[in-house]
Formats: sequence, C-alpha cells, structure tokens
Amino acid sequence: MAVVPMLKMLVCGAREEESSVMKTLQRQGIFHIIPLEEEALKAPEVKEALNKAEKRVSLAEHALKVLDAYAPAGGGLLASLSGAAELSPEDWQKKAENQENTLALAEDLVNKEKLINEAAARAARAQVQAEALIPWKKLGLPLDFTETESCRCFIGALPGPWTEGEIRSHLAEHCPQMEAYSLELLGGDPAQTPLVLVCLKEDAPQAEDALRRKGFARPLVTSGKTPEDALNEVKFERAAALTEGEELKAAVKAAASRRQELEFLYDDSLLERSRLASFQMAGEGQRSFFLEGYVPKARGEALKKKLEDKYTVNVLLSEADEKAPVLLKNNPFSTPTETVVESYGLPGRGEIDPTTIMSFFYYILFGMMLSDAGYGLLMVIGCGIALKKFPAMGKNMKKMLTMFFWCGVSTTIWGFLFGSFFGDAIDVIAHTFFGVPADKQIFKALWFTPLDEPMRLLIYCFAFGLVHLFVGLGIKGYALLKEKRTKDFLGSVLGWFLLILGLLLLLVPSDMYASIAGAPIPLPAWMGTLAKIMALAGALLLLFFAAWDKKMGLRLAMGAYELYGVTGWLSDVLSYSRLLALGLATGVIASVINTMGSMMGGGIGGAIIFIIIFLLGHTLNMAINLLGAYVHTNRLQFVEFFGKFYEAGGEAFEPLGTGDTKYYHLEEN
Amino acid sequence: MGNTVTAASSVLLSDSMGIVYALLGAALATFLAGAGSAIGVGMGGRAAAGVLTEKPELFAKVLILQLLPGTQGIYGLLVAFVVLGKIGILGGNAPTAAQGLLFLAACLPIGVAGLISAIHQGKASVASISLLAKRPESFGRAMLLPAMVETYAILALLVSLLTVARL
Repeated sequence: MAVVPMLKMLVCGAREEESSVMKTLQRQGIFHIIPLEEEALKAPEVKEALNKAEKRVSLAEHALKVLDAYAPAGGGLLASLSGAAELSPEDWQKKAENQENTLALAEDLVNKEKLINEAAARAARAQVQAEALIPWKKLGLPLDFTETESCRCFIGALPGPWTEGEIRSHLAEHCPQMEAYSLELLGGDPAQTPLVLVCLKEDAPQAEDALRRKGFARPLVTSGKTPEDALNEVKFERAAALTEGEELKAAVKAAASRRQELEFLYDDSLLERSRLASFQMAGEGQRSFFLEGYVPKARGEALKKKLEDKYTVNVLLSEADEKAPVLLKNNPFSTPTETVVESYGLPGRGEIDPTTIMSFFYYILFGMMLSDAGYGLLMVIGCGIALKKFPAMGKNMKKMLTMFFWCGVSTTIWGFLFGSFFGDAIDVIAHTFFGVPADKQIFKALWFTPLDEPMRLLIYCFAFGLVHLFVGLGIKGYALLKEKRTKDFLGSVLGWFLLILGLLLLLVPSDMYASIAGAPIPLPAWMGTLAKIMALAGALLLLFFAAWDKKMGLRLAMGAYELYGVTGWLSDVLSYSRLLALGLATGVIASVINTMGSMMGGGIGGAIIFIIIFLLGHTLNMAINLLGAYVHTNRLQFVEFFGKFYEAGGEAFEPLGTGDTKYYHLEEN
Repeated sequence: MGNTVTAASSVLLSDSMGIVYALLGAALATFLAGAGSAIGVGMGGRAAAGVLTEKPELFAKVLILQLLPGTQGIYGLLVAFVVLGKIGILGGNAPTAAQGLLFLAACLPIGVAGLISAIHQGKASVASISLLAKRPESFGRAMLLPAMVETYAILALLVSLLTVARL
C-alpha cells in the first residue's frame, strides 16, 4: 500500500549514442521522461522522423484493417484475451532490420483496397445505367435520335400507366390538325409509359406541348447506340468490374499469410514513434545530449549502472521533487482495485495511496449488492478460467478480471449468508420437480433472509456505512497528525468523531430507533451522559477549530458552517441504504424468474420450460445487477469514502516503455 | 342523492375492491417506472449510436452508460412483484379495501420518482456519452454522474419496498 518513491535522474552522453541510449531506456521501461528546461540546449530535430514513424503506424494499421475486412483472422473475443506474443530483444532486432518488403506489402494492400472500392463503384454505376436502359429495350433507334428530314421523333415517357387509345385521344384533343403521325408504346409499367412519337415537323411544337402537359420526360440515360446495344455494353462493363473486384479480393486474401509481418511492422513503428516523441523532450548541445526524468527509487541504481556500463554516459540521481509522477504498488489482493483509484485520480502531493484499505471495502460492498451465491460462483469460475487460460493477456484486462474474481468470492459469501443461490432456485426446483412439501425449506440463510427482515439489514447497512466513513475520516486524521497539523486534526477529524459517536449513542436508546429496529437497545444512564458530553465536545471542537487560523468572528462563522455539515453526514449514511435496495433487487427478481419458470409445473415439459426461463432470466438479471453493483460500489467509494479524505490530482507515472504494443511483447532482459 | 353516494362508497370501500387498488398500485409502479426507464434508455441509445459511428471501439462503454437509466424499470417491477406476492395473485391473501389502498400508496414513490429520475438520468447519460466520446479515458467519471441521479430512485424504492414488505 503505497506510492512508489521516485528518484530524479539526469542522463547526459554523446550524441552519437543518443538513439541507442533511448532504445535501452525504452526496453527497461522505468524511465518517465520530462521536458528538459534548459534554454542553452536545443530540442533535437526529430519532426520529420516522427512524421515518418507516424505514417508507418497508420499505414500498417490501415493494411491490417484491409486484411481484417477481406481475410478475417478469426478467434473473436477469446483471441483478444490471449495477449501479445513474447519476443526477445535479439529476435526483435533481427525482425526489425528488414522491413522494406513489409512496407511495400502494406502499401500494396492499401492500394488494392482503393482499387476494390473503385471497381465496386464502377459495377454499381453500370447497374444503375442498366436499370435505366431496361424500359427502352424494345426501341430500335438510338436514344438520342430526334429527327429525319421532314419528321420529328419524340422518345420519352409519360408518368403513370397509359393505353395507346388514351394517348391518341389526348393528342387529338390538343392538336386536332395533326393527322399523320406514328405512335408506338414500348411496353410499360405502373410507374411510367415509355413511347415513341413520330410526326411531321410543322406539327412538332404542338405535339410536344400536348405531351409536356402530361409530364412527358426524355429518358434519364442517353446514348448514340440503340438501347439494346448500350445495355449489352453496360452489362459487360459491370461483369468486368465485378471480376476485377473479386480478383483483387483474392489477392488480398493471399496476402493473409503475411499478416504477422504487418503486425510486427505496426508494433515496431509504434515503439519507434513513442521513442521519437520522447526525443522531443531531450536537450542537445553540440556533441552531447541531456535527458531528465523520474525512475522508481528501488531501481534507480541498477538503471544507472546498466547505462554507464554500456555507454559513455553520465547518470546523476537525486531525490525526487514534489512534481514526481505517481506509481502505485500494492499487495496482489488489492492491486486490481488500483484501476478504480486511477479512474478517480491518483494521490496528489503528500497523499497516501488509499488502494489497500479501499479494496477490502470494495469487495465487501460489491458482494453485498450482488449477494447471490450462484452469480458469485459464476463470476469466480468465469474469471478464474480466463485468468488461468490466458496468462499473457493485457495488464488492464488482467486487473479487471482479477478484481471481478475477488468480487465474485465476496458475492458468493454474502449469497450464502443471505440464503440466495440463483434466488430461491434450490427450493423451487425441489418443490416443483422432486415433490418436497412446499412448507419445507431446504436452502437456509446462514445469517438471515433480507426480504423477511429488511429493517434489520437496513440498520446493518447504515452501521457498515458508518464504519466505512469513519475509516475514511481516520485516514485523514492519520495524514494530518503525520504532518503535525494538530489543530486541523482537532477541528476537522476529532470533532466529527466525537459529535457523530455522541449523537449515535443518544439515538440508539431512543423511541425513534426502536420504531425502525423494532426494539430499542437499552444503555445504562451514564452512557447517555457520556454521549451528551461527547456530542457537545465534538460540536465545540468543530465550531472553534474548523477554521482556527482565521480571525475570531470569521472563525466562528466558518466553524458553524462546518457544524452544518452534519446534514452531509446524514445523507452520506443514508446513501448506504443502496446496499439493501440493490441486494433485494437481485434476490427478488431471481425468485420471480424461478417462480415464472415453475409455473408450468413438474414433468419433462415443465422442466424444459424451467431451464429456458432460468437461463434467459438469470443471464439478464445477473448482467443488470452486475452493472448496478459495479456502478454503485464505485459511487460509494468515490463520493462517500473518498469525499472524507481524498483529494487526488497526482500525475501518472508513464515511463517510456514497450507496453503499448498490440501483437508482440518485447521481453525485458 | 344521499343514497347514491352511500351506495357508491359502499361499493368503493367493499372488500372486493381491495385487490383492485392493490393491482392498480402494482400497475403504476411497473408502468410509470418502466416508462421512465424506456425514455431514459432510449435517449441514451440515440446518443450512443451517434458516438459509435465515429468510435465503434467504445461499444462496451457506451452500452453501460446507455443502460444506467434502465434500473428504475427494474425497481418498479420489483415492487410490483412483491405486491403481487402478497395480494393473492402469486401468493398471500386478497386484501381489504383499506389494505388495497395502502398498497396503492406504497407503490407511488417508486412509480413517480422512478419515472422522473429515469428521464433525468437519461439526460445525464446522454451528456456522459458525449463526454466519453471526447475523452474515452474518463469512463469512471462519466459513469458516476448519471449514477448520482439514481440515488433518489433508490430512496423511493426503499420506501416502497419497506412499506410493501410490512403490509
């Protein structure tokens, strides 16, 4: 349970070796580089190289995406757990030397994707054209045919269905003088009626006008060829484009055997990019370079020795200042909950790492909210198998699964205490299918059943919440005493302890408590007096010491405001009632699912229905309650617990390292 | 006139009406809280779909945020089932008119607080989803903001549940 102590490290060496030193530092993965603030030194010129590395990363990424699209690697979710393959530094070096071919392959793949898309677009365009040509198939003339020496020819379509007679009578009505003309309908569909009208040139304007009135429109496509010829041509084009697309896709698939090369290119470029980005923070003189950063204290000397043995460099170690980045180190049981602390914020300057203390509460609270032995066991088994089977999975994934493993253990324990195993599944099955009398309970709670005695559990929840809050306040007190801020301790820690405990002791023997709990807890009279003294002392401490460094008037006003914070304590404690609510939610809904499943009665049919409803219902209930338990455990930690003492605001320790790679992992030597 | 009123009240307060009131309570708990959750999760879903067009890798995280306002519906269902288990439908005995009205009253907190809190939690979820889209690393915080709203649904659930369990 601690924030790892850091040392500040300054490295200076010859510029020729800068690149190699950087590589060694990256492989060690324990050096957090910070920008060097020294005006006499220039930052190295690496923009161009950085851009190049950047481009290589995105090229490799793009090429891999192309491969995934046309030749998926398969494996799915489980494959993502298997993590990166280990590679020794020598092998890495060997692989990294000859990557020209891979680069060419990546470019080729990206290019092929472009061609595939183009071919697909051509095929689609041809398809559209073909569809536009189909209504004109029967036309023996080119679509752009308009006139002969003495005649005009109108090729086009009228919207909606028309018969030849209808069109002829329409023409007779609007251009009565037109006698000689030829009208041909080219089939048609409900949407439009394609037609060819040939008439004498002098009649043409009127005939056109008559047609336009009914929405006559020329064909969407036009061509100097007859529709039949044009259609054949378009069809041929489409077939050619499709074949080309298929051939390209086959070529991409053939490249799938070289996927690993691309994956290595991606990882190697990624490492180079992060190395070059760190270069920007270094400083360079004419022949020398300087690097500044932080290294964990325990490993500082070893790193110094390693660098000085290998290169002609000078390494200076000094005590870290206040700006040192934060790295957490905890026991294996608590380590997984570091992610929870991180998502709230790392400990700021001088703060202690709350992870270990929090982890116990975290597991316990989570278990209380989910509180079903069946769900807990599923979590334990699922996470356990995943952890065992994929030891090389990513660090964060591992932390998360380990955390849910322990949450599962706690859930199982609480489940047995509260007598819930997939709700009341055991009893329902026994009653429905094995003829056990309905009034005989088989699976009993080790402690008590929450739904039968909700008030009892509610009080335990509040008590538990109070312990949680007091521990938080205790941590604050410890930190204040360590910094010898006794007056602050009196005003903002001891005052609260006395006041809250005093009020609590006054509450317990009262009628109000009795009405909630069912029976008062009688306390001897001297306890009552003691409680009053404690509460009064606490209130006075808060009033006078919460802002002891201010002038008297302001001091009392701020003290009174601090005293008003007692309402905050009330709401904090009440907030723990969610432990009861969520616990009941899991149990009751699980029982509802079992009841629904057993409604069909015993027998084979009933058993099948029961199994189906059981599987579906419990999957859903577990998923939604897992989410609820996770969210609300975090809330109780972040708002109620951390609110009492934790400020956070530390910067994370992010050493130049090899941890970002996706497919290969560089072994440290 | 007077006779009509007396007759009406004797019907309304007759013990055969007890189960009607109790069922009305169960129905209100389910449908008010459920409707609120549907609205909230629906809002979240639209925002989530928008984010996924740009960042499909955030699917699991936005899904969690979308689901946060979904719990009120479950709380409503929970209270309704406990009621059904006490009024002779899934167990227990048919209530008298007075008991039925008590069930009805006990169901109101989770129904009304569920409806309103789920809608507002949905709005907070939408905001959190856009926060996540811009800063995927702040998932913890994004999740916590909508969870604050849920506190009030939980308080309402407690009151409803504790009352119903005692009736």
